[in-house]
Amino acid sequence: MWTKKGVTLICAAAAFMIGGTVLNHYLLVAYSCALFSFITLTTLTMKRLVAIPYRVHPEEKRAKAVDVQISRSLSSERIVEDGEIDVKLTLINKKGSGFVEIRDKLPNVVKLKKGSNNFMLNLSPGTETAINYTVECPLMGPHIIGPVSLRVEDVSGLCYIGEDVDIYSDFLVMPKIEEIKEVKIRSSVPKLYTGAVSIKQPGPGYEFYSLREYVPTDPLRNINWKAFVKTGKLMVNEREREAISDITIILDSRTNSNIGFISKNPLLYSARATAALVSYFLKRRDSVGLVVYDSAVHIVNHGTGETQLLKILTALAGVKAQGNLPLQAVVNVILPHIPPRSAIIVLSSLEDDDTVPKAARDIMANDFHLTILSMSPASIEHEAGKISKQSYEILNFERECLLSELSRYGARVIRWSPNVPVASALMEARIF
Amino acid sequence: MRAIAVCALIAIVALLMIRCEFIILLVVFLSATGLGLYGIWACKRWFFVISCLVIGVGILFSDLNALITVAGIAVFFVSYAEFGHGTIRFSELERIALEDKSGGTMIMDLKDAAKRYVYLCSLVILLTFVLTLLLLNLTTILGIFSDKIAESVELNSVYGIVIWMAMVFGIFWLAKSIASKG
Repeated sequence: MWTKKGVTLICAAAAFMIGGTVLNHYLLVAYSCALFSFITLTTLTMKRLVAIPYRVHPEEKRAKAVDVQISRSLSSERIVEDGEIDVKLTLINKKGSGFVEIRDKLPNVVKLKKGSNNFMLNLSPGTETAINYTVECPLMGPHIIGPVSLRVEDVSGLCYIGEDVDIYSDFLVMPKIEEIKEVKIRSSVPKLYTGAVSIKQPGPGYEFYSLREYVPTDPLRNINWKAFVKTGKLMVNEREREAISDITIILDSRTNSNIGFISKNPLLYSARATAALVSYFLKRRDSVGLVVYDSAVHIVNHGTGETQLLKILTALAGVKAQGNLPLQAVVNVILPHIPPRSAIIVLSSLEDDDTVPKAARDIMANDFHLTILSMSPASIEHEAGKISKQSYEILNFERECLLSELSRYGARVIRWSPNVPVASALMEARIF
Repeated sequence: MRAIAVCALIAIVALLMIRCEFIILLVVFLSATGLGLYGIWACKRWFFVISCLVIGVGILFSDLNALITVAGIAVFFVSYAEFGHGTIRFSELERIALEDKSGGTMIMDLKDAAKRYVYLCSLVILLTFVLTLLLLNLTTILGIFSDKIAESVELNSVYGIVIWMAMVFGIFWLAKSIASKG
């Protein structure tokens, strides 16, 4: 392909040739002859570019080519939002030499922190060059780095050969976890084995609850000897029962949850809130499950510990706004499989879904404890000036009617503004 | 590179001024020289381009007939344009390399690239001079073997040069496109 300089010289040469012919001027024709000769001879210095991924076995015979093998490695394949990845691009020049321009294509949402992904270097035969740069990833989701674009010009920069090498590296950015101090949500039917939550009932645990008289089946180590000395009766220490709650989080990932901007939309904020909630509940040793609904229902079964946190964060990183499944359909699918009387938290904008009130009634009727954390997309659009004040007020009024109806059914509704941290919004929830 | 470009510029202007009979043309060529030198030294591309245009237009008013002089001026002009532009281009790359900003283009091994450029470009300019001289004198050379060519009025004028250019370069590019597809 010709560069701008090459095209300019060709046009100039043609213009001089025509001008010289018309005006019968030797020098103009000689100048066009010199230009055409120069262009022709310069293009002979152009070498073919052959660039291949590292893993492909190269062909042996290639004449007059710059033969480059390329590979890429990342410091990490999973990071949290605002985390950094170090990228190392290795080029091995097997044959030929030339001044090569290299560009490693980055996703649009990623920022260069250190170094550069665009290089120009002189490749000598048999040399290995390593290029390092660091990128910062502010938004969650799966991202791909690649392909690698190479460009070789002739000596004078009149024409070039470009090639894209299909080397891709993918990495996952998980949502960042906001620290939550307290969320007063738990199941009223906790599981009957030790955990970290005290529920004001006597039973197996570590915290002192009360004293009572000794009965023959009590273990001797529980006898409070100081109380025996004071009262003359055998008394035992009773501990407070600790138990685990089951929490189910339902995240709305339908198309309309992506309304707003790429860095400010209900889906992104809800995913971050989900990550914060999951981290908090799992630290409290509760059992947490995740349900994401878009065009289908995606379930992460209940579990505890760091493994469960990683599973849920990975699932959250892959959410995409698509589909329009109603909440009622989700409730019909999951309710039979959720532990009875456990807590359900729904994170949804509640937009474009007429089945929300019925779904909430069904949840409450089955004796679950429902908390709805809802962000209004209209407020985001109104802040950005995308909708008029009148439209915003109408939408807001309709939304308030819906939220009031849900409150009347017994659900705890938290109106969440994008400018408020999720920890502050959650302080509104009360103990069930 | 700068030195080569400047020498080429001085050579063109000197050759043109030898046959220059008008003071206006003298002033024009000296101005072009000044503009070109400033453009190369300060890496100002527009001044350099304007100087090339001025010299190119000034060529129209010159009165030169000897083919070797004509070929020399043409090739000197090409070398002035090429090395002047190369100087500006590598100076800009050097400035980018020294700035070393994150997110910009990183340049490595610039000196090796510059040396390779000067070497190859000089070779190409030399071959350009030989080819230009050959094309300008092709009628005379082929006239030795054929009386018809030697006596042809069209081939002995500028039209002859244009015809030879069209044939030679046409055949070359046709062969290259066939080779690249094959």
